[in-house]
Amino acid sequence: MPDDNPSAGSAAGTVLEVRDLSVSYFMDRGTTLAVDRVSLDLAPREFLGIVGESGCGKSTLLFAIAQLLAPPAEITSGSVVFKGRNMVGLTDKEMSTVRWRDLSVVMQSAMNALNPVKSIGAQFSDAMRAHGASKGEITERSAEVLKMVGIDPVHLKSYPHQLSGGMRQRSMIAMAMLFTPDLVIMDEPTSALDVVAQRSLMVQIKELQEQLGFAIIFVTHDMSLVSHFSDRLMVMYGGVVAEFGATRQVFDAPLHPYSIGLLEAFPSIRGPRVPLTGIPGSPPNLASIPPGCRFAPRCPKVMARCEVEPPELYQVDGTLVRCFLHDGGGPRDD
Amino acid sequence: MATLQTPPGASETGTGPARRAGPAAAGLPLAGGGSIAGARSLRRMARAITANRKATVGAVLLAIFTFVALFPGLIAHDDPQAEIYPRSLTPSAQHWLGTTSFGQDMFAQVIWGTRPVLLIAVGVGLLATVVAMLVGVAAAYLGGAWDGTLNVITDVLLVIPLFPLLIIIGSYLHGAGTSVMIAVIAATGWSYTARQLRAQALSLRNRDFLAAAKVRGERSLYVICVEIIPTMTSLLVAAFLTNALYAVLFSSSLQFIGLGDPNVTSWGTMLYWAENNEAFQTGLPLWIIVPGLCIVALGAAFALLNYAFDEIGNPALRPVRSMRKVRVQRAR
Amino acid sequence: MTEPQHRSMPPALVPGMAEPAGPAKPGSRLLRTEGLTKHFKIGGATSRRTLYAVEDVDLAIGEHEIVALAGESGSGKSTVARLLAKLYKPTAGEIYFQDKPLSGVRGRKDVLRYRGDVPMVFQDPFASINPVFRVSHGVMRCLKLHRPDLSAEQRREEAERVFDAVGLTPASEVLQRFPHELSGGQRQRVGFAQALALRPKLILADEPVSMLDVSIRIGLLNLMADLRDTQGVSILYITHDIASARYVADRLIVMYAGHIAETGPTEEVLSRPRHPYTQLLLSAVPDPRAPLTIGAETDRGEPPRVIDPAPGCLFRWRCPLAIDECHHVTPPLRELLPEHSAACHVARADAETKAFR
Repeated sequence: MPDDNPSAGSAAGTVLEVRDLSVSYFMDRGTTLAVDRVSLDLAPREFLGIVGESGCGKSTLLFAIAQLLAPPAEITSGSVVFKGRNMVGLTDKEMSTVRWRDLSVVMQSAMNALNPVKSIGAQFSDAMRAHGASKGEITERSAEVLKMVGIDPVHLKSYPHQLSGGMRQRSMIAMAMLFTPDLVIMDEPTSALDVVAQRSLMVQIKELQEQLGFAIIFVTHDMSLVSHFSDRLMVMYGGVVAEFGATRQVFDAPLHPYSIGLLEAFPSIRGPRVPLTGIPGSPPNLASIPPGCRFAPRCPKVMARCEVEPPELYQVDGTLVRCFLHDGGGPRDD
Repeated sequence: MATLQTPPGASETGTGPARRAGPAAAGLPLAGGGSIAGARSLRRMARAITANRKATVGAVLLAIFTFVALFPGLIAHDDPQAEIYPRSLTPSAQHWLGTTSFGQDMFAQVIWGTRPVLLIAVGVGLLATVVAMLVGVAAAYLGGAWDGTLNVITDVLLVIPLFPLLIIIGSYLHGAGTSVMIAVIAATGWSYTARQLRAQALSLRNRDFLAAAKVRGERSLYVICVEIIPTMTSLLVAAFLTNALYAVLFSSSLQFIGLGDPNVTSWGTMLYWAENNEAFQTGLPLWIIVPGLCIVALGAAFALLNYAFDEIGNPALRPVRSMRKVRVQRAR
Repeated sequence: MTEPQHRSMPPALVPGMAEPAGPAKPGSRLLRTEGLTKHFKIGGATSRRTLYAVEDVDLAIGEHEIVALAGESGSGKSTVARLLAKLYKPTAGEIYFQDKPLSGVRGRKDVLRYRGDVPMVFQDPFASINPVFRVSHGVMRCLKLHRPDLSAEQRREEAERVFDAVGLTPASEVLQRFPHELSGGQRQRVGFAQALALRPKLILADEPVSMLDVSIRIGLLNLMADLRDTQGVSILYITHDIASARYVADRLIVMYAGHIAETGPTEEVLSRPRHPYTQLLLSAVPDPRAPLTIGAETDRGEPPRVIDPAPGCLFRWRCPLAIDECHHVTPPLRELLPEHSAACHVARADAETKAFR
């Protein structure tokens, strides 16, 4: 676990280095800055959770990292260095060698991502053939990955609608495992599932990670879901990083008023019943960003300075936080 | 793989286990300010038409034809039927298109012939669309035996080849006027758009706002008329345009083979007389070409306008033009 | 366009802690069901397969209380809601509203009156409001249909009153907006406003917060508690999220595969769960404040789709405590402790059920 510079992974071989990544949507009625100068480093085998409400830019960030943005969205600045290679600006052809072999993506809803008219096995073999695997390799590996996620290989012949929701999600994850990638990106893979299936899927993902040794970026709106699984946690708000640090630290001692508000918005199952307030108001409209801190309109600890000046990321005990309440730590160096 | 098309923050909510209304899903209908809305849609339709080049051409053409149909006397001063001129004249200053072999001014015929065609187009468009809407939406909303019965009727009509059917009916009503023709074409042609409207209504049927209307105590007829149909405005306009196009082509064809009203001057009847008088062979090609071109142009106008409404109804079809503009401006 | 600041509900209204949520007095049952059953025919017209969506459900809702109906998807909870809303007709069993059977409610006037007493709030904030009209449309229609005694002016005032009551201020301004101009949380509040305009006795809330962001859910849950306390409305809160059920509900009903598994006061059921399924649900809820316990026997099963079932407990395939009787006899709902019932052959009143941890 890195101590001084939390946004940097271990010096030797970071899997992913994102520097000052910005994404904008260019629409007829104006430009929306969806992601504003986000940086992060990911070490091998690391589990990074990215949390935030709808509209905070976390999904856009994810798609930008995976180079899956389409017009009108575009990366306007910054770099995404994956295994030493900057992926921003790569052509589709160059990306296709990286995709699935070294980097794979698990989508939010399997029903939307899986082809409904092809069997699971056919979709696996599509993916493998695109990387030049032989028929024997395909059959063997397909069965292998399904077993890894706890599905009987007989389901290779099944169509997506014949599987239950949980099984569909798990087959999506199996598909992502086909080439044992170094990095798997997951966009809310459990949000379409019930709480019991969610739990078992999270455990499954963690087990696979320990078994196969890949790094994970896991995007979700539900903080409690990643609380037990991620190594580090990034809280996003309004397109910027609000807080970024070791998971346990962010949970036990959140620094940013937004993180505090978010944590307190979860009614607890155990412990005393207390009244909660949530966070009043709504996320900012990214098409017209107000000056100053983006959280200021909703912040219970807002100061005059917050409405005028946008805060930088400050370091506090190994956690980065974008809030003037903690600016004593000094801005991080890059 | 899925790709993001709309910005986050356009929709300010929506996460949950059943269905995530994230940016890609919820943002799309919202980004255009509501793709299938009712009263405000007129303004948006106007904007969509001007934004889309094909649609603008179509709208201009249609406007020209409408003007000609409404005020033919302003443009052509001659009586189109009067056989008072020397026959078979070639185009000249007095007769811009020449005269027919009966001595009628061809230009006047074309101009005055616009009104019946447009009348039939609009008449069939409205009538067929109304029938299609009632049948399609009722079938979808009422379901069950209603759906089954209405579907059988629709399908039977769809399968029967329309033009032969029109010929048969037309030959029985030979010479009966414009309104009969409107009724006949509408009665045979509503089934195609009925299918489309039913499919759209089906997709809306399980929307919560319809259940919400029912739960607050609305009657079925109210739900169909006030809740469902206004959300289908752009599809209804598209159905109207489809039916109008179909009417132009089929009515002209019927008139061409002689089943129209011979006392009415329209483009189709012009073609009929021209063909019967061997216009090409006798050196009067314009007698066939000009009405033919007009039919094509009017049909094209409806078809081009249809493009705009396709794009309103389905945001996925909208071309993304802005990126190219911005790319050119920014230096990389 | 800046979002209007609608006030979140005051924290002073502590859900469920103001008055002790004791058992509702007998005779004050607002709504109860007896043996409520709903089967759907599935497959084509010639198929004989039947989906047992809801089976033999006995539940009761009293006045001034929030009852949570919790379960995973396929548990039948949404079907129960729609049965209570008279959107479906029961296959068997009866629903009693104010001690009068619902099957006797026929004819436009009676049905309209029932709909005014028992309205429904839907799950999807995007699909539950007609996008074509302003948000005032729904409320005004509700008032027109159910309060014909009011003049147009009075209807306007009433619409503003209910919008204020749910926190959509300034009401006159919000009423003029179109649905796409509101956030999801605001649209759900519109749903509650529409229900309130009817002066209901019982609001059926079908997963009203599931599709909202976590930080917005609390605002709506507080609103529901406020409605119970100040407007005298009971709420049937349907959810799959046990934690939110605990936060806002006085009593909890847990459903599994169309049957009631366990029911009782919320705190009681959650602290001393007697049905193994309730235990499973509790163990699966992620709680960031609790230390991690990943059991090796993490359940991988999923709730079944109940098609033409044989008798027996439907949970037996996933239950570590299943005995022979569970495979042959469908367990009835038995009262184990005061007001606390469970449908399980193995459950005991005095002993803990140790199925999942």
